[in-house]
Amino acid sequence: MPMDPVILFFVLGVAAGLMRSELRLPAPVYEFVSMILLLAIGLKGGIELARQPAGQVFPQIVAVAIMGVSLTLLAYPLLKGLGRFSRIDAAAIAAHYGSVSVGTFAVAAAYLSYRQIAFEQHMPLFVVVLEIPAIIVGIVLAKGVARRDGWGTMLHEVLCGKSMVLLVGGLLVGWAAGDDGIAPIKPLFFDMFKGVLALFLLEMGLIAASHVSGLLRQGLFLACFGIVMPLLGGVVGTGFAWAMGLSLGGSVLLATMAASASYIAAPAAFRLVVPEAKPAYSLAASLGVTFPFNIVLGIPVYHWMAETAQVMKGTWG
Amino acid sequence: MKPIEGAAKLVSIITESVVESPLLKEIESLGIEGYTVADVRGRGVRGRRSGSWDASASIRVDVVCSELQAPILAERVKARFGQGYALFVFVCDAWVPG
Repeated sequence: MPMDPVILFFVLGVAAGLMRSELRLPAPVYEFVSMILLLAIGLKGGIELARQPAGQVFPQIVAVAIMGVSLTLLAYPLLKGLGRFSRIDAAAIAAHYGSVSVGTFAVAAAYLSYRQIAFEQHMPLFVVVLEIPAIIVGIVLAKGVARRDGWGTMLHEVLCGKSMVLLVGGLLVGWAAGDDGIAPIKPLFFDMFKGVLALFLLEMGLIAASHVSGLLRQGLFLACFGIVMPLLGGVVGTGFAWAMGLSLGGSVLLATMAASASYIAAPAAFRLVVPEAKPAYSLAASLGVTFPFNIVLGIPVYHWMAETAQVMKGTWG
Repeated sequence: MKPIEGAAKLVSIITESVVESPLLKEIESLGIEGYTVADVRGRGVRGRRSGSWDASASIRVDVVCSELQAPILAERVKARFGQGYALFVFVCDAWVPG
């Protein structure tokens, strides 16, 4: 099967960045493109949520929140013990990996539709849920519970950050309007989704390339962590998907979410609340290694993990 | 408050976009009501800030205030945001026509 064209746009961005081309997406265009992605993902989830009884989804929400906390607590000792990072930097990087990348989720959803694999359409709800707990746990690990100052700022930043407002807003609009209500705005949000995703990935490629030099300075451990941690996350995500009884497509998406590292919500929250944490570390790992790894190699690996889990479930169940 | 006229100071603060709202609150807490915020990009001791996306976005806040307020504002901003954030503050003479 040929490579999904959106991935080729990412490769183009990385190549242009490494060649030091002057290409850059103007900041307002990047803002606009990421707004459309977040709203489209929210709207899709909201439409589906309108069809679901709330009682059925609630236990899954709790499970996904527990997954976010466990991923952060898994990454933290690795970074602090093996990587010899300071407590604050280890906590910051761990929070990035416990949280989720919406861009990676969008690529995984596009990967599944490209291969015509169905998935639970309310998965975007889990993106919202997974975004929050890791950031809170990370900040507690960095600063301790005792320090009261900064909590208000942190909660405000986490709950009212733009990615949160757009995702939750999209979910609510989709839920309130339903499938028929959304029909008139479908051309912008759904029909153009792949094109917008291609532009977004072009810019992400440029950004990823700009973090490569930072990565070379930070050393080998961070580069290895950026590949090993998503694979561990993929296994954890596949396990949770199994326990939650998700379909094959749903399992690929949940594993991808667990494997992905935040680069919008977590960096913003940490910059504001824990400015001592060096963003160079977490962004070099999440954007320089994990994001490219996930979209090019990781997602097919999580697809394989999900298939293996389904086969095992078939054999044992 | 009466608008400033005549001799004044221009305080320019170049920093990370992420601190925009606490920074503006700090400015307002000194009783300064006017400022101009611009999205900017450039290079400093912390490396290049391309401004193309959230984590690399910078702002410049220009404040024209009295000669008395300027050093207080500059010191306060340095004390609060100087540690941990990319920050550059400079003050120069200004003159506001009456």
